[in-house]
Amino acid sequence: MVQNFARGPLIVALRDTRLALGRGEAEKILVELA
Amino acid sequence: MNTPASSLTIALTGQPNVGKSTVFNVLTGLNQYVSNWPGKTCEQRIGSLSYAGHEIQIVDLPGTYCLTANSIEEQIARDYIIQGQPDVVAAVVDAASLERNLYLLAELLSLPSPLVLGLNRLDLAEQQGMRVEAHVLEAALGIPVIAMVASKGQGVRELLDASVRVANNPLEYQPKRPEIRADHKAVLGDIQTLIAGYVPEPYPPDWVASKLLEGDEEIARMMQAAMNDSANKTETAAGWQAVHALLMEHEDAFLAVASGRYEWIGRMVRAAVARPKPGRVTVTDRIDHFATHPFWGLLILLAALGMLFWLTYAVGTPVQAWLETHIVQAGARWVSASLAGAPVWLVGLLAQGIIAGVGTVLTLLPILIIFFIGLGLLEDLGYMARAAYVMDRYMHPMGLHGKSFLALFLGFGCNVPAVMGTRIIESPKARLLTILIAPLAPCTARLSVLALLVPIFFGPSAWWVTLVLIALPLSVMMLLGKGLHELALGGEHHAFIMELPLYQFPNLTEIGKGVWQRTIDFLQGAGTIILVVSVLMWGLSHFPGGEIEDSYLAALGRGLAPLGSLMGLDWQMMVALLTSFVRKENTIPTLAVLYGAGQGGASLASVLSGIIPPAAAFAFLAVQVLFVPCVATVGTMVEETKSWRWTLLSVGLLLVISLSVGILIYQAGRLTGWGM
Repeated sequence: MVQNFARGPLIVALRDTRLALGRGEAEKILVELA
Repeated sequence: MNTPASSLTIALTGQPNVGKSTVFNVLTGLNQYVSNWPGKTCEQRIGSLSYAGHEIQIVDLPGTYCLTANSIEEQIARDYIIQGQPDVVAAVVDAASLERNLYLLAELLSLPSPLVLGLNRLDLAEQQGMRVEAHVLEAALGIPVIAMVASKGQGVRELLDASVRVANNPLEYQPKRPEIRADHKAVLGDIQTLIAGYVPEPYPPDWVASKLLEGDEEIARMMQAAMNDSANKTETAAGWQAVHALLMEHEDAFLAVASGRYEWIGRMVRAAVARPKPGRVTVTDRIDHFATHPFWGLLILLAALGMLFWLTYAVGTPVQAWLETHIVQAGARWVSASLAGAPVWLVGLLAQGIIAGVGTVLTLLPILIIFFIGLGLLEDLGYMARAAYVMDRYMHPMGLHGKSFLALFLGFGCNVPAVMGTRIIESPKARLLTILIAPLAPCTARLSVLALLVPIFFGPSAWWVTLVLIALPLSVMMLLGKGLHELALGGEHHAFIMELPLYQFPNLTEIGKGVWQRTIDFLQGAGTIILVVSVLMWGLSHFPGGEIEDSYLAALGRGLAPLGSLMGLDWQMMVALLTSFVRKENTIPTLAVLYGAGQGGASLASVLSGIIPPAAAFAFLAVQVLFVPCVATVGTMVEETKSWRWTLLSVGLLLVISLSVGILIYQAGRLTGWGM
């Protein structure tokens, strides 16, 4: 997680890419440690 | 005797924003042809060059993250590679985001066309503290890997050399392909066995089997149809059922396919990439700390857009005025003088119809070009994605995302670049919705009409009346956007997932080429419509009597007088509304001519304030700010939507909304006694 202001979209770093992600979409993503 | 040159086709592919277009432009220069892919609204670019005894055609495929046909761009890219069968596929990847970029390569390796890899933006990777070894990657992948910094022209010729070499020596092409995760190898084998013999040409059977496991709907439909169409329907129907049953049993197989690819990618990256120590703060990180902040980001955005507007009007407006005076008006005077003995209608048609129409297009160019340059700079810099991120939360009430804000904001200057600016929106429905509501942004032309008329009618109250008249179209924009999103466009919620690219120095050559292409697009498309409609409107305002007061337009205005009376407007004001369709500023000179301003020393202000009560004036101005867009905007809407139906829907809606609001305002004034 790069940035999360509790409202509005988030910024995450995935592998070598920075992504802006809508909050609704982020809530549907499950993260599992490999 | 000259040996005839052999021909080669190279397909250029890659994920979005990897510098693929830069490579294309460096290779092809001005020898490129732009059209649309057959049957699609996506742009197709084909260029050509002669090199090493070959006539080479370069096909620039749309940027795609993968080949799963979730979007038009992905469908076009994979259909072209499979069915177009280029001699070579040159995949351009971003060295600074190698892990993500190699996913597309992993898919491309499954297709029949030989590949070369252009490892671009090595300079950006170095800025991030990464070191990427092209020769190590080449040994690991088994395909040519060319180190490139395309923005500086480095490595592009070497990419071409490698492509020609691979095309001429197909037997030497020995790539190392990724495999499916081990626990699903048996399932893949079963699928391959079941579909053997039924895969239509030219699709590779192994690729089709993998796509079926990934849940690719288009490939599944193709195989179901192919197997059901086969001669022995009983056997093949059972065969497809077996395939379907296997796929249903292994619904999670797409994870195995993706995992296999990422395991392969991980091995490649570990071998070839040296990363900086964790915790390193890059330039992008430092800038984004402010650029993506909810408060500072908004300030930075407003400053950037404010600067763009300032530049546009500081530079563009004087150029516009010069063109108007020294080209358009001078041209009209020259025509009038040269054709002194010619029929009045002919002189009028040339001077006030055609030259004025051309003038409308010409005088828009300085504004458009500066907007295009500004947008190009912001986009190439990498800032546009941050702007969309900051504004995203404010666009949700209209069912839109942040990129729509950028286009709509441009509408405050001029609606034409606002409509053209929607090209940055990937979702077709979001783009269409933004185009439909963009004309509600109060452009400077409408604001100039307000600036002149509001003080005449409202004196010291002009400032708050102006605020209300600016807030009105913005409120209607939100409501109409929400309504169209739910009712006409299916109310679909589009996921907001957007890459934030690294910041980089803008490539001025690429920006220049983009500005040129957009300007040509505007002239060829919207420009033609603007010219035709301008001539038509001149005809309506000239014939049959030669003066606007006894023209067809005036007759139309008189015919609309009953409608106008509901808003407290006489026929002259209705005609002024009609002429604003050509240019919003036409309202003022039309009112001046029709009310005889200037005759007997009476100014327009004194004439209007003595005739029109405040309630009717407020209704008129409300209609002005909500009225149908100008012909330039309509022409651009037709060109960008490729649809008269949607354009006329927008125009029709604005007509109904503007007149309804005007009627409401005047009737409310009449009932309450305000402004009468």
